[in-house]
Amino acid sequence: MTGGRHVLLLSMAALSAGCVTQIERTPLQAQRLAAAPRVSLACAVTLVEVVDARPGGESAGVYNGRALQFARAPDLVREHLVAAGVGTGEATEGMRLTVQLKRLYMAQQHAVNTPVVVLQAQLGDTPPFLIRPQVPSVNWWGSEAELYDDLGAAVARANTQLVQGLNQRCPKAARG
Amino acid sequence: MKRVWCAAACLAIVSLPVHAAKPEPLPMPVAQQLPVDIVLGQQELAVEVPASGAATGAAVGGLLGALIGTAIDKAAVSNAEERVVELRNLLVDYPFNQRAEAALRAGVASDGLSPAPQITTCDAPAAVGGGGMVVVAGLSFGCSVVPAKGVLVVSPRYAIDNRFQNLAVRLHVALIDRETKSNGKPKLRLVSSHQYQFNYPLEALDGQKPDDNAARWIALGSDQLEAMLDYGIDQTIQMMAYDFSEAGRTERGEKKRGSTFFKGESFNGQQVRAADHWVWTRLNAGLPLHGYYPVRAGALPAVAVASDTGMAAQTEGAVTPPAADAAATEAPSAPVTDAVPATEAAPATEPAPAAAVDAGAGS
Repeated sequence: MTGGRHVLLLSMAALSAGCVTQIERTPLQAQRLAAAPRVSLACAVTLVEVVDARPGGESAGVYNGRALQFARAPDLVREHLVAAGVGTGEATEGMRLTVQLKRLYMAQQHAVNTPVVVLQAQLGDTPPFLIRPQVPSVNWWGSEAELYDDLGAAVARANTQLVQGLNQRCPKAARG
Repeated sequence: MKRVWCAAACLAIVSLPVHAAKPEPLPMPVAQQLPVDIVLGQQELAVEVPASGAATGAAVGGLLGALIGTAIDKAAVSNAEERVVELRNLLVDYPFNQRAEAALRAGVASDGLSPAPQITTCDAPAAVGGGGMVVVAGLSFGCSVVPAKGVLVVSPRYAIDNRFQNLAVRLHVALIDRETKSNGKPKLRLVSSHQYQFNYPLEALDGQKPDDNAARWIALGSDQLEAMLDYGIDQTIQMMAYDFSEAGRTERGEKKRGSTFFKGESFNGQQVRAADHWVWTRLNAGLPLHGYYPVRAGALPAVAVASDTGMAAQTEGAVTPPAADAAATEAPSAPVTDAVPATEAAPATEPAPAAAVDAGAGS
């Protein structure tokens, strides 16, 4: 082996030994996620609860060296639904809605971000239905802003589809 | 920019010959109270897409090449993510991480690894990368960067390929030393690395496209898929225990050649162990251990028969209960190109029936 090759190998080894990325635990900030859905409810619905049914708990995936944590995810879903016209608390008008937050995480593969939000909703005695929007996008910069844009878009789309799903299940007589 | 240089160096290292000293054989067991970090970072069934865009982008070159490569990868990932939706919905209540953790807690205590392992779990590695001259994809520090010698880092994973031909449960296992550099940054020394993968290859049919294959997996149903994944978890843990056993260590060091013919299909590697429905193979000394459980068209894998909803069992005639796999035989030496009949040897435990999923779930 030539001396030059030794030097090359040693340099590569030194560089590769330094290729360590420490994973930072990063809490997600709910206020930085996108706005509530733009659709409105077509009939009266009262939200019983948004259940946190994520098997991984607060863990929301790993994004560019950050282990994402999102404790307030069910609250965010609730706020978006209320903004769309869902009643809460004392309101007893209309059909009763229970939502389970099954997943909320960011996945990455080959510089493509795939934010995932899965909701299961049950309106009254109707069969439960699943919402799982697909919004993969290119991970251009790997920045925090990009993370919030992508994940926020997925949350907004999931809530929009949820409201649309509720509207489809509204009793015909109750539709506005 | 620093990351780009690091990535370039890591990639270059992979392609260069490495003249490392022959590693010292591991003690038996590896340690009496082996620290074991289980990293449970997966949120759902992964769909694995080969990085085809990078090669095309490199061939074109420049910014245009990078954009073309990115567009190719985005289209491939989007298609795969779209296709896997229904399969993920079927498995939305399947607690893979909890099942894997419970099975590992029960199975990692073994003669070759440790009689009293000290288990820690986490949902993300504390750090990734490093390893010095040996570059292993996704090398993880485990749950901490606190210096420690001889930590076994175990990372379970379940995935389907983007053509939907193979469902797999994988266990990446690395024995590492965690150190701290003089500048205070964490450093990892890889002592040994192992991979155990249990595959469910779907029988190839003429003209079948990924969408057709996806429909065949979906037709199995959630209970059956869960039973198969449970069994895959169990098999990978048995592979790990075997690999560190006296017999496994001997077999792992032996040279191998040829392929294995099993259930009408040819699989890479020489047969290591077989039972009625599956075979383990290894391509050559020191390489990963693979298990194959072929899934025939129009038939329910016997492992999923406990959750049968009326499909034909994979075995002809009477339905064979999963316990039929309890009789396995080892073939650690001499190239074998066909499965041998099962004999009484190593019992393979059958996982408990999977819990029923929410029957009403579905979009």
